[in-house]
Amino acid sequence: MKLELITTSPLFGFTLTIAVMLFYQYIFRRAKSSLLNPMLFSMVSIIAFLMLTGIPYEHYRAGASILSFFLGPTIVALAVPLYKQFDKSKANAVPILAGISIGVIVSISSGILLSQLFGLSREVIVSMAPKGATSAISMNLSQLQGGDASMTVTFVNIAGIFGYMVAIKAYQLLKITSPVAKGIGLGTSAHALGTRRALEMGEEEGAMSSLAIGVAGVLTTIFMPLLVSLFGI
Amino acid sequence: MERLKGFLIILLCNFAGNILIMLSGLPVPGSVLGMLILLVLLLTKRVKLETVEPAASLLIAFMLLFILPDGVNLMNSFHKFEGIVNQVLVIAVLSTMLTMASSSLVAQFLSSRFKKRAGEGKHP
Repeated sequence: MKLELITTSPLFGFTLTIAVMLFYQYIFRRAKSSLLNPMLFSMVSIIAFLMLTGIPYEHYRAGASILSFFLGPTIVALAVPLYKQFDKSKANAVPILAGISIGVIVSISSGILLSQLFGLSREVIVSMAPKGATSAISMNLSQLQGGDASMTVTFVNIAGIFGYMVAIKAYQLLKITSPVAKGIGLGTSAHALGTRRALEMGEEEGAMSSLAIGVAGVLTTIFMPLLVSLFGI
Repeated sequence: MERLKGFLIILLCNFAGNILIMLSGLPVPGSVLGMLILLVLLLTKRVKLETVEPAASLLIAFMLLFILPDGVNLMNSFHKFEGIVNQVLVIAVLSTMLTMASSSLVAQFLSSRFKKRAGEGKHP
Protein backbone atom coordinates (compact mmCIF):
# COMPACT_ATOMS: atom_id res chain seq x y z
CA MET A 1 0.00 0.00 0.00
CA LYS A 2 2.66 2.44 1.08
CA LEU A 3 4.96 1.30 -1.72
CA GLU A 4 2.29 2.21 -4.23
CA LEU A 5 2.28 5.76 -2.93
CA ILE A 6 5.95 5.96 -3.78
CA THR A 7 5.82 4.29 -7.19
CA THR A 8 2.82 6.26 -8.45
CA SER A 9 4.59 9.54 -7.74
CA PRO A 10 6.26 11.07 -10.83
CA LEU A 11 9.48 11.22 -8.83
CA PHE A 12 9.80 7.42 -9.08
CA GLY A 13 9.97 6.94 -12.86
CA PHE A 14 11.94 10.14 -13.33
CA THR A 15 14.61 9.24 -10.79
CA LEU A 16 14.83 5.59 -11.83
CA THR A 17 15.44 6.53 -15.49
CA ILE A 18 18.21 8.99 -14.70
CA ALA A 19 19.85 6.73 -12.10
CA VAL A 20 19.97 3.66 -14.35
CA MET A 21 21.23 5.57 -17.39
CA LEU A 22 23.93 7.27 -15.33
CA PHE A 23 24.94 3.94 -13.80
CA TYR A 24 25.59 2.35 -17.20
CA GLN A 25 27.30 5.41 -18.59
CA TYR A 26 29.62 5.34 -15.59
CA ILE A 27 30.24 1.59 -15.89
CA PHE A 28 30.85 1.64 -19.64
CA ARG A 29 32.97 4.77 -19.76
CA ARG A 30 36.09 2.65 -19.41
CA ALA A 31 34.96 -0.16 -21.66
CA LYS A 32 36.76 -0.09 -25.00
CA SER A 33 33.86 -1.52 -26.98
CA SER A 34 31.15 0.92 -27.97
CA LEU A 35 28.85 -2.08 -28.31
CA LEU A 36 28.23 -1.92 -24.59
CA ASN A 37 25.69 0.77 -25.26
CA PRO A 38 24.01 2.21 -22.19
CA MET A 39 20.65 2.49 -23.99
CA LEU A 40 19.94 -1.22 -24.39
CA PHE A 41 21.35 -2.14 -20.98
CA SER A 42 19.26 0.57 -19.31
CA MET A 43 16.14 -0.57 -21.16
CA VAL A 44 16.60 -4.19 -20.15
CA SER A 45 17.47 -3.30 -16.55
CA ILE A 46 14.45 -1.07 -16.00
CA ILE A 47 12.11 -3.60 -17.63
CA ALA A 48 13.55 -6.38 -15.48
CA PHE A 49 13.24 -4.25 -12.36
CA LEU A 50 9.61 -3.33 -13.05
CA MET A 51 8.67 -6.92 -13.91
CA LEU A 52 10.39 -8.41 -10.86
CA THR A 53 8.83 -5.90 -8.48
CA GLY A 54 5.46 -6.03 -10.24
CA ILE A 55 5.36 -2.25 -10.63
CA PRO A 56 3.14 -1.50 -13.65
CA TYR A 57 4.53 0.46 -16.59
CA GLU A 58 1.90 3.16 -16.01
CA HIS A 59 3.45 3.99 -12.62
CA TYR A 60 6.88 4.25 -14.20
CA ARG A 61 5.46 6.28 -17.07
CA ALA A 62 4.04 8.94 -14.71
CA GLY A 63 7.53 10.28 -14.07
CA ALA A 64 9.32 9.07 -17.17
CA SER A 65 6.93 10.95 -19.45
CA ILE A 66 8.42 14.20 -18.17
CA LEU A 67 11.64 13.11 -19.88
CA SER A 68 9.84 12.01 -23.06
CA PHE A 69 8.47 15.51 -23.41
CA PHE A 70 11.95 16.78 -24.30
CA LEU A 71 12.18 14.55 -27.39
CA GLY A 72 10.43 17.14 -29.59
CA PRO A 73 12.75 20.03 -28.64
CA THR A 74 15.74 17.66 -28.98
CA ILE A 75 14.79 16.87 -32.58
CA VAL A 76 14.59 20.64 -33.24
CA ALA A 77 18.02 21.02 -31.62
CA LEU A 78 19.52 18.62 -34.19
CA ALA A 79 19.44 21.64 -36.55
CA VAL A 80 22.56 22.93 -34.75
CA PRO A 81 24.99 20.08 -35.63
CA LEU A 82 23.41 20.01 -39.07
CA TYR A 83 24.14 23.72 -39.51
CA LYS A 84 27.70 23.29 -38.30
CA GLN A 85 28.40 20.59 -40.92
CA PHE A 86 26.79 22.63 -43.68
CA ASP A 87 29.89 24.49 -44.86
CA LYS A 88 32.07 21.39 -44.83
CA SER A 89 29.61 19.56 -47.02
CA LYS A 90 29.00 22.19 -49.69
CA ALA A 91 31.84 20.95 -51.90
CA ASN A 92 30.45 17.41 -51.87
CA ALA A 93 26.76 18.33 -51.83
CA VAL A 94 25.74 16.10 -54.75
CA PRO A 95 27.39 12.82 -53.64
CA ILE A 96 26.26 13.44 -50.05
CA LEU A 97 22.61 14.14 -50.84
CA ALA A 98 22.39 11.41 -53.48
CA GLY A 99 24.05 8.85 -51.20
CA ILE A 100 21.78 9.61 -48.26
CA SER A 101 18.63 9.74 -50.42
CA ILE A 102 19.33 6.36 -52.02
CA GLY A 103 20.22 4.93 -48.61
CA VAL A 104 16.99 6.19 -47.05
CA ILE A 105 14.85 4.83 -49.90
CA VAL A 106 16.64 1.46 -49.73
CA SER A 107 16.30 1.41 -45.94
CA ILE A 108 12.54 2.02 -45.88
CA SER A 109 11.76 -0.11 -48.96
CA SER A 110 13.82 -3.09 -47.84
CA GLY A 111 12.29 -2.87 -44.37
CA ILE A 112 8.79 -2.91 -45.83
CA LEU A 113 9.37 -5.51 -48.58
CA LEU A 114 11.29 -7.98 -46.39
CA SER A 115 8.65 -7.68 -43.67
CA GLN A 116 5.94 -8.36 -46.24
CA LEU A 117 7.92 -11.34 -47.52
CA PHE A 118 7.91 -12.82 -44.02
CA GLY A 119 4.19 -12.07 -43.72
CA LEU A 120 4.52 -9.77 -40.73
CA SER A 121 1.64 -7.62 -39.47
CA ARG A 122 1.15 -4.01 -40.56
CA GLU A 123 2.12 -2.81 -37.08
CA VAL A 124 5.50 -4.55 -37.29
CA ILE A 125 6.07 -3.34 -40.86
CA VAL A 126 5.58 0.34 -40.05
CA SER A 127 7.63 -0.07 -36.87
CA MET A 128 10.48 -1.53 -38.96
CA ALA A 129 10.31 0.89 -41.91
CA PRO A 130 11.84 4.04 -40.27
CA LYS A 131 14.64 2.24 -38.35
CA GLY A 132 17.33 3.99 -40.43
CA ALA A 133 16.45 7.32 -38.81
CA THR A 134 17.70 8.22 -35.35
CA SER A 135 15.43 6.91 -32.53
CA ALA A 136 13.85 10.24 -31.64
CA ILE A 137 12.59 10.76 -35.20
CA SER A 138 11.84 7.15 -36.17
CA MET A 139 9.70 6.64 -33.04
CA ASN A 140 7.50 9.55 -34.08
CA LEU A 141 7.27 8.33 -37.67
CA SER A 142 6.36 4.83 -36.58
CA GLN A 143 3.60 6.06 -34.26
CA LEU A 144 2.15 8.36 -36.92
CA GLN A 145 1.66 5.28 -39.15
CA GLY A 146 0.17 3.18 -36.36
CA GLY A 147 3.41 1.47 -35.35
CA ASP A 148 4.78 0.63 -31.90
CA ALA A 149 7.44 3.13 -30.74
CA SER A 150 9.09 0.63 -28.39
CA MET A 151 9.49 -1.90 -31.25
CA THR A 152 11.01 0.84 -33.39
CA VAL A 153 13.51 1.75 -30.66
CA THR A 154 14.53 -1.91 -30.55
CA PHE A 155 14.99 -2.11 -34.33
CA VAL A 156 16.91 1.17 -34.38
CA ASN A 157 19.30 -0.26 -31.79
CA ILE A 158 19.77 -3.50 -33.73
CA ALA A 159 20.61 -1.41 -36.82
CA GLY A 160 23.07 0.70 -34.82
CA ILE A 161 24.85 -2.23 -33.22
CA PHE A 162 25.01 -4.27 -36.41
CA GLY A 163 26.16 -1.31 -38.51
CA TYR A 164 28.88 -0.59 -35.96
CA MET A 165 30.06 -4.20 -36.08
CA VAL A 166 30.20 -4.79 -39.84
CA ALA A 167 31.23 -1.39 -41.25
CA ILE A 168 34.98 -2.03 -41.49
CA LYS A 169 34.57 -5.45 -43.14
CA ALA A 170 31.79 -4.19 -45.41
CA TYR A 171 33.84 -1.25 -46.65
CA GLN A 172 36.79 -3.58 -47.41
CA LEU A 173 34.54 -5.89 -49.42
CA LEU A 174 32.86 -3.04 -51.29
CA LYS A 175 36.19 -1.22 -51.79
CA ILE A 176 34.87 1.97 -50.18
CA THR A 177 37.87 4.20 -49.63
CA SER A 178 36.46 7.74 -49.74
CA PRO A 179 36.03 9.25 -46.24
CA VAL A 180 32.85 11.01 -47.39
CA ALA A 181 31.30 7.74 -48.57
CA LYS A 182 32.32 5.91 -45.38
CA GLY A 183 30.69 8.57 -43.18
CA ILE A 184 27.54 8.76 -45.29
CA GLY A 185 27.09 4.98 -45.28
CA LEU A 186 27.48 4.72 -41.52
CA GLY A 187 25.32 7.72 -40.61
CA THR A 188 22.51 6.73 -42.97
CA SER A 189 22.31 3.10 -41.81
CA ALA A 190 23.48 3.08 -38.19
CA HIS A 191 22.89 6.64 -36.86
CA ALA A 192 24.54 7.42 -33.49
CA LEU A 193 26.51 4.18 -33.06
CA GLY A 194 27.51 4.34 -36.71
CA THR A 195 28.81 7.85 -36.14
CA ARG A 196 30.91 6.60 -33.26
CA ARG A 197 32.50 4.06 -35.62
CA ALA A 198 32.93 6.77 -38.26
CA LEU A 199 34.73 8.99 -35.72
CA GLU A 200 37.07 6.09 -35.00
CA MET A 201 37.88 5.98 -38.73
CA GLY A 202 38.64 9.70 -38.95
CA GLU A 203 37.46 13.25 -38.46
CA GLU A 204 35.94 13.70 -41.92
CA GLU A 205 34.16 10.34 -41.69
CA GLY A 206 32.69 11.41 -38.34
CA ALA A 207 31.54 14.80 -39.58
CA MET A 208 29.88 13.24 -42.64
CA SER A 209 28.20 10.62 -40.51
CA SER A 210 26.71 13.13 -38.08
CA LEU A 211 25.52 15.21 -41.03
CA ALA A 212 23.93 12.06 -42.47
CA ILE A 213 21.98 11.46 -39.23
CA GLY A 214 20.17 14.78 -39.54
CA VAL A 215 19.63 14.62 -43.30
CA ALA A 216 18.50 10.99 -43.16
CA GLY A 217 16.05 11.93 -40.40
CA VAL A 218 14.47 14.61 -42.58
CA LEU A 219 14.46 12.41 -45.71
CA THR A 220 12.97 9.46 -43.83
CA THR A 221 10.22 11.80 -42.64
CA ILE A 222 9.49 12.71 -46.27
CA PHE A 223 9.88 9.28 -47.87
CA MET A 224 8.23 7.09 -45.23
CA PRO A 225 4.59 8.20 -45.84
CA LEU A 226 5.19 8.15 -49.61
CA LEU A 227 6.64 4.63 -49.65
CA VAL A 228 4.05 3.31 -47.20
CA SER A 229 1.26 4.38 -49.53
CA LEU A 230 3.23 3.30 -52.64
CA PHE A 231 3.54 -0.25 -51.29
CA GLY A 232 -0.11 -0.10 -50.27
CA ILE A 233 0.38 -0.85 -46.59
CA MET B 1 19.92 32.87 -18.77
CA GLU B 2 21.52 32.69 -22.23
CA ARG B 3 20.86 28.96 -22.27
CA LEU B 4 17.22 29.60 -21.44
CA LYS B 5 16.94 32.02 -24.35
CA GLY B 6 18.26 29.36 -26.71
CA PHE B 7 15.83 26.86 -25.23
CA LEU B 8 12.95 29.27 -25.83
CA ILE B 9 13.92 29.66 -29.50
CA ILE B 10 14.02 25.86 -29.84
CA LEU B 11 10.59 25.58 -28.19
CA LEU B 12 9.15 28.28 -30.46
CA CYS B 13 10.46 26.45 -33.55
CA ASN B 14 8.87 23.25 -32.24
CA PHE B 15 5.61 25.17 -31.71
CA ALA B 16 5.72 26.67 -35.21
CA GLY B 17 6.36 23.21 -36.67
CA ASN B 18 3.43 21.70 -34.77
CA ILE B 19 1.07 24.48 -35.84
CA LEU B 20 2.09 24.16 -39.50
CA ILE B 21 1.53 20.40 -39.34
CA MET B 22 -1.86 20.92 -37.70
CA LEU B 23 -2.91 23.37 -40.41
CA SER B 24 -1.56 21.33 -43.33
CA GLY B 25 -2.46 17.87 -42.07
CA LEU B 26 0.86 16.46 -43.35
CA PRO B 27 1.71 13.03 -41.91
CA VAL B 28 5.05 14.15 -40.44
CA PRO B 29 6.11 15.10 -36.90
CA GLY B 30 6.03 18.83 -36.15
CA SER B 31 9.43 18.60 -34.48
CA VAL B 32 11.17 17.62 -37.73
CA LEU B 33 9.58 20.64 -39.40
CA GLY B 34 10.72 22.69 -36.38
CA MET B 35 14.25 21.46 -37.00
CA LEU B 36 14.09 22.69 -40.60
CA ILE B 37 12.72 26.05 -39.41
CA LEU B 38 15.63 26.44 -36.98
CA LEU B 39 18.08 25.39 -39.71
CA VAL B 40 16.70 28.08 -42.04
CA LEU B 41 16.87 30.67 -39.24
CA LEU B 42 20.52 29.76 -38.64
CA LEU B 43 21.43 29.77 -42.33
CA THR B 44 19.80 33.17 -42.86
CA LYS B 45 21.52 34.49 -39.69
CA ARG B 46 18.19 35.42 -38.08
CA VAL B 47 19.31 33.29 -35.13
CA LYS B 48 22.93 33.24 -34.01
CA LEU B 49 24.64 29.92 -33.46
CA GLU B 50 25.95 31.15 -30.09
CA THR B 51 22.40 31.76 -28.88
CA VAL B 52 21.04 28.26 -29.48
CA GLU B 53 24.16 26.12 -29.27
CA PRO B 54 24.42 25.76 -25.47
CA ALA B 55 20.78 24.69 -25.09
CA ALA B 56 20.93 22.46 -28.18
CA SER B 57 24.10 20.69 -27.01
CA LEU B 58 22.54 20.04 -23.61
CA LEU B 59 19.39 18.53 -25.16
CA ILE B 60 21.39 16.38 -27.58
CA ALA B 61 23.70 15.18 -24.81
CA PHE B 62 20.62 13.96 -22.90
CA MET B 63 18.91 12.41 -25.93
CA LEU B 64 19.21 8.80 -24.77
CA LEU B 65 17.51 9.75 -21.52
CA PHE B 66 14.52 11.12 -23.43
CA ILE B 67 14.19 7.98 -25.58
CA LEU B 68 14.51 5.50 -22.74
CA PRO B 69 10.92 5.75 -21.38
CA ASP B 70 9.49 4.72 -24.76
CA GLY B 71 12.03 1.93 -24.98
CA VAL B 72 10.94 0.57 -21.61
CA ASN B 73 7.40 0.35 -23.00
CA LEU B 74 8.73 -2.73 -24.81
CA MET B 75 7.67 -4.66 -21.70
CA ASN B 76 4.10 -4.22 -22.91
CA SER B 77 4.98 -5.35 -26.44
CA PHE B 78 6.83 -8.61 -25.76
CA HIS B 79 3.83 -10.62 -26.95
CA LYS B 80 4.06 -8.94 -30.36
CA PHE B 81 7.45 -10.59 -30.92
CA GLU B 82 6.11 -14.09 -30.30
CA GLY B 83 7.16 -16.32 -33.18
CA ILE B 84 8.78 -13.51 -35.20
CA VAL B 85 12.01 -12.83 -33.28
CA ASN B 86 14.23 -14.49 -35.89
CA GLN B 87 12.40 -12.87 -38.78
CA VAL B 88 12.67 -9.31 -37.45
CA LEU B 89 16.36 -9.83 -36.62
CA VAL B 90 17.09 -11.03 -40.16
CA ILE B 91 15.12 -8.13 -41.65
CA ALA B 92 16.76 -5.47 -39.48
CA VAL B 93 20.25 -6.81 -40.23
CA LEU B 94 19.71 -7.28 -43.98
CA SER B 95 18.04 -3.91 -44.39
CA THR B 96 20.85 -2.17 -42.47
CA MET B 97 23.48 -3.84 -44.68
CA LEU B 98 21.66 -2.87 -47.88
CA THR B 99 21.33 0.71 -46.63
CA MET B 100 25.00 1.01 -45.73
CA ALA B 101 26.14 -0.55 -49.02
CA SER B 102 23.86 1.50 -51.28
CA SER B 103 24.48 4.87 -49.65
CA SER B 104 28.27 4.48 -49.45
CA LEU B 105 28.57 3.08 -52.99
CA VAL B 106 26.48 5.92 -54.47
CA ALA B 107 28.39 8.56 -52.47
CA GLN B 108 31.77 7.12 -53.52
CA PHE B 109 30.81 6.73 -57.17
CA LEU B 110 29.53 10.30 -57.41
CA SER B 111 32.34 11.90 -55.41
CA SER B 112 34.99 10.27 -57.65
CA ARG B 113 33.13 11.49 -60.74
CA PHE B 114 32.85 15.00 -59.37
CA LYS B 115 36.50 15.06 -58.42
CA LYS B 116 37.45 13.93 -61.92
CA ARG B 117 35.34 16.66 -63.42
CA ALA B 118 36.91 19.27 -61.14
CA GLY B 119 40.33 17.93 -62.16
CA GLU B 120 39.43 18.21 -65.85
CA GLY B 121 38.49 21.83 -65.23
CA LYS B 122 41.96 22.59 -63.90
CA HIS B 123 43.73 20.92 -66.82
CA PRO B 124 41.60 21.46 -69.88
